Amino acid sequence: MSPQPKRIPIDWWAVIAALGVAVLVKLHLAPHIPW
Amino acid sequence: MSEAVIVPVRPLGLGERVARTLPGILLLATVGLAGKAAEQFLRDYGKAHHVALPNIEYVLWAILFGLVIANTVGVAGIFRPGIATYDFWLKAGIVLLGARFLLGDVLRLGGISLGLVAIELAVAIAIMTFVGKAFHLKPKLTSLLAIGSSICGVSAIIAAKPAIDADDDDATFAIAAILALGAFGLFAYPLIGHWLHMSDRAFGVWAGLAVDNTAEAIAAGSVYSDAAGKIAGLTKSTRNAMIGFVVLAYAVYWASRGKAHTVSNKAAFLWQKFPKFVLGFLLISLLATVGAFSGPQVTDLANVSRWAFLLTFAGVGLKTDFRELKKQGMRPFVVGALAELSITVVTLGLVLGAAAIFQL
Repeated sequence: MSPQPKRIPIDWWAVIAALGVAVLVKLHLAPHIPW
Repeated sequence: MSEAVIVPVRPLGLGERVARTLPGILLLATVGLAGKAAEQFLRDYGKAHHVALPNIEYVLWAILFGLVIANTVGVAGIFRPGIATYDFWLKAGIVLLGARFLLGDVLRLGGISLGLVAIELAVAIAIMTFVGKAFHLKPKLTSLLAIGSSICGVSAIIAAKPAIDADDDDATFAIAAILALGAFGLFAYPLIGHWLHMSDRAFGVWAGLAVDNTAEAIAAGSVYSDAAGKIAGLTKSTRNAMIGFVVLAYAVYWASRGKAHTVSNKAAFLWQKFPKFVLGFLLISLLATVGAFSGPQVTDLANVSRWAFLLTFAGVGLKTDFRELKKQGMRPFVVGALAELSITVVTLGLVLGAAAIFQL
């Protein structure tokens, strides 16, 4: 049986995505986000 | 003897995986937005007709709509991969929630929460184990319910299942029971909070301590107020950080009885089970504390967090399937409900005590 490719856990994806958003906001590359 | 033919399954590429999740994510967004629209509609209707209608937060509507869909027409297979992303939105939402906390507040409230969590853990495990034994539940199902009720419903049960070699059926039941009881708490807790005139902080700590599923804990807090939702997120994350220790203790217990694998490297086990999004939350909070973001930028990040939670709340409703509860009969559910009720009362007492001492 071939070994399964190692998946990045969802927690890390969430951290990466959130930090990515924070960087975009910090660098004024994201539009104003209303609620 | 026939030879088994192994057909290699081609792993899906990132693009294909994202494409598979799109229908479900659109459903999450639709249900979430319908919740927001329902809140707005009721408010506008009340104003236009001068009727005093209760302000029902979008959180409750989104969860309610999701529950109705999941338990009537059901969720078609095409939506399932996307609905499963609710965990991603939840965790990304919590990380971004860090922007609304100064690190000092995190340490102070986190410290108070940690003390309360330690007591809550001991009490919840003791109560669930006692009630489970009294009702003669299967010991591993009792363990799963104890882990789920003491730490964090779904993630803790998923983390514990392989560690104590529990059955799929027991894990599915424990998850369904925790979600269903949490859904009930969403409606009941805010009513109790208002009745006792609890502050936003005290209510947030209580929701974070007593509601087992992270999304439902934040939802219960948000139903009370935006500030309470924020505090519930922090308290619940503190509780989640304890997940590894509790699961490890149960793994060691079952291994000592020869009914689970032995854990060889305990430090690696703890790191593997540690919820990494807590680190992201602390990092964003640290950045906000040192002034990395301007006021409007903090608002933007907080709003992204709110949108992520909107998808999460829709997912909670869509994932709660009351029919799963019937499969193991009413007894385990009654055990879960009795234990949760006791935990609710004990944590309420703890929080009211802490609120008086620490001015929460």
